[in-house]
Amino acid sequence: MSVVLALDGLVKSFGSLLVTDNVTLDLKPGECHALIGPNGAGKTTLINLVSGTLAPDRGKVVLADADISRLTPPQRALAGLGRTFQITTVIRSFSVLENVALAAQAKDGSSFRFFGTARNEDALNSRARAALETIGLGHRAAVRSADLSHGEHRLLELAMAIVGAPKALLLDEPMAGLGKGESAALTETLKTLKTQIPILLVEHDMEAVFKLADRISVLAYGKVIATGTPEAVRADEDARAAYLGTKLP
Amino acid sequence: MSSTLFLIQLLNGAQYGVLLFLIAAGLTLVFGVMGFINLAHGVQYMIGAYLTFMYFGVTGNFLTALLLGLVTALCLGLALEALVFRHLYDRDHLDQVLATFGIILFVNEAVKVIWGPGTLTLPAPEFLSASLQLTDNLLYPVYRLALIVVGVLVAAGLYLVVTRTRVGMLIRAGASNADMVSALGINIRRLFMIVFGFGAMLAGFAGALAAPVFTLEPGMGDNLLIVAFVVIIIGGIGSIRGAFIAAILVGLIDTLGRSLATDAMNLIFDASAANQIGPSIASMLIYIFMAAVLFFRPQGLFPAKGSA
Amino acid sequence: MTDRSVTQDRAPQGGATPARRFGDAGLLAGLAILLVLALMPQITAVAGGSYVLNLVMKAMILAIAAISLDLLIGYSGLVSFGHAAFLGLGSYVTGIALTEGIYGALPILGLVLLICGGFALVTGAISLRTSGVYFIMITLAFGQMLFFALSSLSSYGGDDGLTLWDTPDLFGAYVFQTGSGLFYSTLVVLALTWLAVGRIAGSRFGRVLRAGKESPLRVGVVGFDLYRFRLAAYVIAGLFAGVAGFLMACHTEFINPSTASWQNSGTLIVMVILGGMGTRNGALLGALFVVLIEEALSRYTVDWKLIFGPMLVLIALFAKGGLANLLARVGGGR
Repeated sequence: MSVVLALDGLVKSFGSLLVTDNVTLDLKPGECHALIGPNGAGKTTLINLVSGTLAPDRGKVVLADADISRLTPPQRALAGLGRTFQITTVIRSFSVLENVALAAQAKDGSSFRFFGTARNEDALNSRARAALETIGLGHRAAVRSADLSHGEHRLLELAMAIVGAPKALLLDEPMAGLGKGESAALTETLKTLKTQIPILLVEHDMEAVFKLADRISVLAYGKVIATGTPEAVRADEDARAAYLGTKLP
Repeated sequence: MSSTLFLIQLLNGAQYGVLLFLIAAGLTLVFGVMGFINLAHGVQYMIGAYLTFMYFGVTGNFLTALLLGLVTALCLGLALEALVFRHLYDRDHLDQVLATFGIILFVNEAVKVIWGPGTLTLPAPEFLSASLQLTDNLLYPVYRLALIVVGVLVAAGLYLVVTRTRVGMLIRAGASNADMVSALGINIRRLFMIVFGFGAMLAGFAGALAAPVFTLEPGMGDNLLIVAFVVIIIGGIGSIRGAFIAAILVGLIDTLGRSLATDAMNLIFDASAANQIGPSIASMLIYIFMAAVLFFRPQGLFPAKGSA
Repeated sequence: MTDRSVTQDRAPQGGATPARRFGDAGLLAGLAILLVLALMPQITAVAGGSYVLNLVMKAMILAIAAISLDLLIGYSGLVSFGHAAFLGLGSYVTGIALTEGIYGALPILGLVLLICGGFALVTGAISLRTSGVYFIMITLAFGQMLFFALSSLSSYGGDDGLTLWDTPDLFGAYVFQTGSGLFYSTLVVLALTWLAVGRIAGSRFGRVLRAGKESPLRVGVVGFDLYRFRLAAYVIAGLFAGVAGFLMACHTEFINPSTASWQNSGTLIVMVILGGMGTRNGALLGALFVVLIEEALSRYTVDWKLIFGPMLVLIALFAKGGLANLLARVGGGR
C-alpha cells in the first residue's frame, strides 16, 4: 500500500462560497504531510470533511483503499482515522488513564456491556498506559485530566488518538498554545510517531512544520496551490505570495 | 359531521390557537433570546386570569379589569425576573428547571389559598356578550370572535415589532448570537428584562382573554404551558412567525381531532371500541404531529437559530 | 456535577485500592440505608404504625423510579422531564391486565416491560435526535401525551382512575398483596435497581454515557455512536420505572392518570437533584427525603407547597448541589 489516506477531488461550498475547491492530496506510510495556509484558506473545513463532521459536495476520502466519504465521524474513527482537536476536548472529570482507556474501549469489542467495572479492565488500562508512555505522559496517568496543564492536554489528546492504533492521524494545530520548550518536545515525539502512523498535520507553527513535514501542501482560497518537499515549498513563488508578510523559515 | 359543526370547530380551533400563540410568543422569545427554560410561564397565564377576575370584582368593568390585570401581571413578571430568573440565566438548565418548578408549586398553591380550590367564572364584557348569526343555524358568541381578532392583531403587531424595530432587531440578534449583542455594547440584561416582562404580560393577557371562555382554576396554566412547548418546538425556537403558524396548526389539529377522531375510528372499529380509542387518539394527535415534524425537521418549521 | 464516586478514589495505577477491596464507602452507606429500610416493618411496629410503613413503601417505590432517572440525568446528562410516564404506564398495564383477567405476576411484568420498553424506544428514538432544552421539552410533551391518553381510557376509569380488586400472584402466592409480602418484594426490586444502576454506571456502557455527558463530540471522535448508548440508557431507565409502576399499582390498589402527570415527573427530578446527581445513593436518599419532607410539611400545614416551592427556588439559587453534599455527609454516602 503506497497511499494510506487520500483526498480525491474534494469540493465543498457554503451557499455561493466555495471553501474547498477540488482538493486532492495523499498521505504515504511513514510520512508527515503538513497542510498550511493563511487564515480563511479553508483548513478547518477540510479537516471537517476528512473527519466526517461535514459531507463533501463532490469527491471522496479514501482510507486504506476504502471509501469513507459517507461514514459518520464515529465510523471513521473505527475505520482507523485518529484525530485531535484545535481546542482541547478531553473528559475533564476522568483521570488521564481513563480518558485513554475510553478511547481504547471503542476499538475493543462491544461497549454494550452493562456489568463489570470498566476501570478495572487490565487489557484496556495497559494499552492506555502504553499509549501514554509513547507520548511521554505516563507519569501523569492517575491525575484528573482537568488538572493537567495546557500542554499536557494536547498530549492526552494525542494519546487518545493513537491508542486504537489508527491507520492515519489527523492533527489539528497540535502546537497551538504551547510554549517553545513544549513545542519542541512535541515535535520530537511526533517525529518518532510518524514512522509508525502517518500524520496529516494542520499547523500554524512554521518552525514545527518545517522540522516535521516530509511534504507540505499550501492551501489558499480552498485550493491547493503548491505541494512538495519543505525545500520546494519554501522556494515556491505562489506559496510565498499566499504567505505575504509571513516569512517562511 | 355537518358543515355547521365543522365551522364551529374551525372557529374554536382558531381561538385555541390564538391563545396558544399568546403564551408561546413570550415563551419562545424568552427561550430564544436567553436560552432560559421557563416552566413558570404557564403560571403567568393563570395570574393574568385571576387578576382580571379580581379587578372585575372591584371595578365591575371588564376593560378596566383587563388593563389593571395586565399592569399587575407585568409587575409580577418583572419582580420574578429580578428576584429569581436573573440569577439563573448563566446556569445549568437543571437549576432553571428546579427553580421554575418551585415557583409553579408556590404560585398554584397561593392561588388556591387566596381564591379557593374551586372553579370560578368571569362573564364576558357586555358589549361583546351577544352572539352573531354566522349561518342559518349557527350562532357564535361575539366575544370568541373578538378573541380571534385580537389575537391575530397582537400577532401582527408582535411580528412588526420583532422585524421592524430596533428592539426587535436586538431580540433577533440575541436569539442567534447573544455574545455578539453584548459585544456591541448593548445592555443585554436590560434587553432580557424587557423581553421577560413583555412575555409575562402576553401570557397574562392570554389568561385574561381566556377567563370568560374557560373557567378559572388553580393550575389552569400548567397543561397549556406544555402545549405551548409543543407549539414552539414545532414552530422553531425563537421564531415569532413559527410560533404563530404552529399555534394555529396545533389549535386546529387538537380541536378538529377531538371531534373527528371518534368518527374516524368508527370506520375501522365497532362503535364501543371507537368510543374508547377515538378520544385517546385525539388527545395524542398534537404530540404525534410534533414527533412527525421533529422527525423531518429537528429544528422545527422556522428555526431561528443555527443549532438547538 | 460529575460522578464523584468514580473520580475521587482513583488508584494510582488504576487497579484496586484498599478502599475498593473492602467495597467503597458509598456502597456500604447504600447497604446501610437498605438495611434500615428492611427493618422498617419491625421499627414501625414499635413506633409509627402502618401509616408510616405505607409512607416508607411509597418512598421506596418512588426511589426505584428516581434511581432509574438518575441514570439519565446524573450519568448521561439527559434531563428527561417525562419519567413519570413510565410509572403511569407500568401501573396502567398492571391495572388493565388485572381487570382483564390476567393475574400472574410474571405475565403482567412481562407486559409491563414490553410496553414500557416499547414506549421508551419510540419516544426516546425521537427525543434523542435533539439535545439540551429541546430534549427537556420533548420528553415533557411525550409524558403529557401519555397522561392524556390514560385519562381518556373511559372504560378504565378515565380521569378518575380505577380501583383494583385483585392483586397479581406469583405461582399462586400473593407476594404482591399489600402487607409484608409487597414490602419485601419492593425492597428486593429497590435493592436490585440500586445495585444495577451502580454497576451500569461503572461499566463500559456507563463509561461511554458519563463521557458523553461531558463531551458528546469527544465520544463520537473516539468511535462511539453516542445516540445508541443514550437510547439504550433511556430504555433501561424506562423499564425500571415501569416496574416501579407495577409495584405502585399493587401498593395503592388503584391506578390513576395523575401518576403520569408532569408534576410527578418534576418531583422525580427534584429527588434526583436534591439527593445528588450521579452519585451512588443520591437518588435513593433524595426520594426518601422528598417524601419525608412532604409529609412533615403537610402535617404543619395543608398548603405545604407554599413552603416547599420557595425551598426549591432557594436550593436552585444558592445550594448548587450543596444540599446534596450536606445530605451525603449526614447520610454517610458519597
